[in-house]
Amino acid sequence: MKPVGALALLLVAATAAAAARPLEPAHFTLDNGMTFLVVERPGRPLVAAVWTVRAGSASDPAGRRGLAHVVEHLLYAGSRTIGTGDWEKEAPLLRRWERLYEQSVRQGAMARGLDRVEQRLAALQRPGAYSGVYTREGALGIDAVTRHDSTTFQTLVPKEKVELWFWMESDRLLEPVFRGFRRELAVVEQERRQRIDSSPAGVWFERFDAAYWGAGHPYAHSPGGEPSEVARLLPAAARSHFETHYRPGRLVAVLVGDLSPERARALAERYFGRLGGGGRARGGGTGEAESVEKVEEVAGPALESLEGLCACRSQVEIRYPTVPFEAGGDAVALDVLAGLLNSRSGRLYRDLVVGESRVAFAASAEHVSRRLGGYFAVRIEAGEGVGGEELIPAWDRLLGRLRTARADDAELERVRRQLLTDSWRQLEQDAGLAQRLAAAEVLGGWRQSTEWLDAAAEVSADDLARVIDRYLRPADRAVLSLTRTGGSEP
Amino acid sequence: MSRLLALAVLAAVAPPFTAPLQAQAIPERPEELRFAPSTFEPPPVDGLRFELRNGLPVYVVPDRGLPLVDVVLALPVGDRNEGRGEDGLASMTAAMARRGGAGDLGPGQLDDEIDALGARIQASSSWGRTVLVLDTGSESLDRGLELLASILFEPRFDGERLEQAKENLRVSLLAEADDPRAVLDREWLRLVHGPDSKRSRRLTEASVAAFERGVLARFHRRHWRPDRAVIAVSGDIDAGQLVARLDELFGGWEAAVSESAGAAEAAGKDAGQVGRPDDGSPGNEESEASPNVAASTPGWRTIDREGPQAAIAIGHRGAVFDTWDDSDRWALMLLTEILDGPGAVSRLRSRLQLEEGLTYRVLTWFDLDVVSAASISARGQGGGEFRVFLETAPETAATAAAVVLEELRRLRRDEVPENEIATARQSLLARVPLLFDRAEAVAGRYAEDELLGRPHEYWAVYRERLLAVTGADIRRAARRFIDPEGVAVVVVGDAASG
Repeated sequence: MKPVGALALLLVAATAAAAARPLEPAHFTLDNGMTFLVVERPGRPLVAAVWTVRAGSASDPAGRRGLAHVVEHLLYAGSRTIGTGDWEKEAPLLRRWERLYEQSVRQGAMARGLDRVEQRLAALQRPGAYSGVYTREGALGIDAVTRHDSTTFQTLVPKEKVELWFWMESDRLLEPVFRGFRRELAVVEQERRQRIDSSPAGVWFERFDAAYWGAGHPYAHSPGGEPSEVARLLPAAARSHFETHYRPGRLVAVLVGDLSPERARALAERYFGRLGGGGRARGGGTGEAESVEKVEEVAGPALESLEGLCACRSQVEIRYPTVPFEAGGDAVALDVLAGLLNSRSGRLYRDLVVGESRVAFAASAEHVSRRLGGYFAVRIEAGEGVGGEELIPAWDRLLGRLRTARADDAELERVRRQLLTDSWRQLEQDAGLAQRLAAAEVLGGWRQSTEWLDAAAEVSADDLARVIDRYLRPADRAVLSLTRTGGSEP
Repeated sequence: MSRLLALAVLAAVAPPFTAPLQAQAIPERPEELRFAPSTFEPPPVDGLRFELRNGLPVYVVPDRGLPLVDVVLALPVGDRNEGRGEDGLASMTAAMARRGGAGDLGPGQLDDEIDALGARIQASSSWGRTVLVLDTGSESLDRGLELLASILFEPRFDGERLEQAKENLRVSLLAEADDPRAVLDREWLRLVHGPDSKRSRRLTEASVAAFERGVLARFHRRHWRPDRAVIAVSGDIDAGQLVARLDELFGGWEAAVSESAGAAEAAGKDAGQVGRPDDGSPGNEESEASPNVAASTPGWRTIDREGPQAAIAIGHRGAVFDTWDDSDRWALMLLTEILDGPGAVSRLRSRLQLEEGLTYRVLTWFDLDVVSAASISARGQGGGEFRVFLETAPETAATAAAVVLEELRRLRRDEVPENEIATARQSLLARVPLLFDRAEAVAGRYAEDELLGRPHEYWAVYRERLLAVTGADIRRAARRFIDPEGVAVVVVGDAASG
């Protein structure tokens, strides 16, 4: 409890300025095109390591919705080295199994002999071996997620054993073996039921995505896919997805922890340098890779509204089409607008949740911006005794007030301060930072994350008024309205 | 070929480990990689603990990397301090302390001030603790601390905000009835702990109606006291300066001597304490050698509900110890890891997911509470819960449940092989760095030690104790603390398909 006084205050100010400098990860690209970002953080016991491929459910071909997600699962089945008792014996059996399985799916009935081959394979295969290698060495947080535009694989590995990550990840990228295909489809089905089907509102949000974007749009289906199509997927389709998308030029790896960029680079060259430009034994194929990179022409959203009964709180989601992800311009102004509406001192809470004319149990706003398009969403859940039909008019009134009573300086300052503090919070956790850098890199470069913050600080009340006028137009919106069903009120 | 000759041949054809150019060759298998031994040790606690003039302990871990500060103030108060008819009161008191205004500030003004700082203040409560968290940029720390102190000492429990919160709780209660997982939780806890146990009581319309301003204020006055409270601070701070400021704000906080608080205070000595005198405790009839962990009402119960997925909970009461360093406790930690650890070692995951594709995720929880010997003999029931939760298709619910029970019996019947124990041990030890990986974690962990009565040395012996556990130890612990015949199984799902 020594008095310290002014000196400490100065110190605080100095460190704040230092930390406010933009994050500068080391950045390098291997000859084969794979990109690496490294943030060295001495003293951390674990290295957060992620890699992302620039392909997610938006890349699922027609009739194979859910393919990207299934491939994500299959990549945990191992390689020619991991997951098998004897690859030489397993390989021909796997080929036979695949022929019989394809035949079974085509015929809609189990082909003769499939059972027996599966039994023989089961004796050779080692399910869980991939994670097992990691776990035995003390790695944690082994997980993957398929999003619309990307698929990300994460591991936390003890810093002394970071080479294991290079070994394991390059190994499965080099020669993955998609074993346990049928079982993995079953697990994917269980995951879907657990994540979506078991929540009454979850099913409706999935349908709303389809209605909002319109049939055939890359974002019209959830990354989990369509159960009937997942059930009919074949191993060949999974391999084809892998070969098309999992090329070094489409991969970004991020390492955050007690690891120097020099060491990371040496290990990256040794291990990931093995991956050919188009994947091993698949030639360079840069032309093809480019065609995959090209942003395809996609139609705008269909903007169809949806109404339904649901064993959930009465609620609405209102969506306005906006712009694809960008670290500036209208995209950032819309992000700031969401900030203005959210939090306890935000307009939604003040007007709809606790105000005189409150109607809501909860309300929030979000600007979702992806590679191929974005939307501004407002979600409102009905409060006690409030009918679902009261929610949209309440939002429209709020929107009217938003047009007339523009954001004042204090409000804008509040949002800026919150965004700045939030951006520091996001740097705190190594795994979170690794994920964010990978996501930003996929969307156009990791610098986007700092540029975004600078742009957000510049957003003015005029900018907000402009994006409200330009995008939040009643004529251009789609609405999901869910009304509580069942005996209980409301 | 003689062995010597064979070695010579190998050396001739496989020199990569000596040739400098190939020194960087990639090993055939990951097991061939050689790593430096892990050097991780939990950081020393020396120098981190301070005391305010009223004796309130403060753990301070500076980290100047980012201009952020985290302050956590924890009180050993929670659901377990609720009286009859007060279900949910501890949580409601915490929530409304934050939301209902404080000191000179009305609810809206308080929100405005916190948001304008870019800070966050949260207050919440669980079974045995109430936690207030301030998370702020360091330049706003001083004002943030003042607001935190104001919420702690002079919450206003604004009547209008309280009414709104009650409305919302009633809406939540309805949603809970829709949610199969919530239905499962409620019913399973009732079977495990008995209908009258505090552990199984849940918020009802009646308990919501009982949340009056005066009731909240009384609970706050009586239980939000510095006795056994702790503070943890981490981030962009100077320890000396910070502690001086904390002393100004919190050093005058005195243990109020209140009317009927005496008995509750004596009973509440242990943060992990369970039960209470009027729980109908039968006293210390149970032999200490075979504590009764069986569910209060063992058996199988199906709650019919349409849906594509059945949710299942299987288990009974958790274990209770009178010391953190009980050999059965270490054995049960390994047992839980073997049964269903987050790594690939999980027997349940292997069976249910990897072999049979029956489920996407299994979650297992085993409470290993530590309370004083006096509380153990006074308790009427085990502490928390031992629970396996999973979801599967309704038609495979019975199969999945049978697999779980089979695995529980196997743990009692067969010794776990050493290699499986080794993997589980490695997996547990691997998670220790994560418990101390940042300043926030270090300050929080050591403060939690003090809150729970867990000696700091626990972390020093952690590795050694886990290394000492044998297969025989695990089987013994399984026989003492797992009772496959005493489990309550609840299935919420479509009975027609089951």
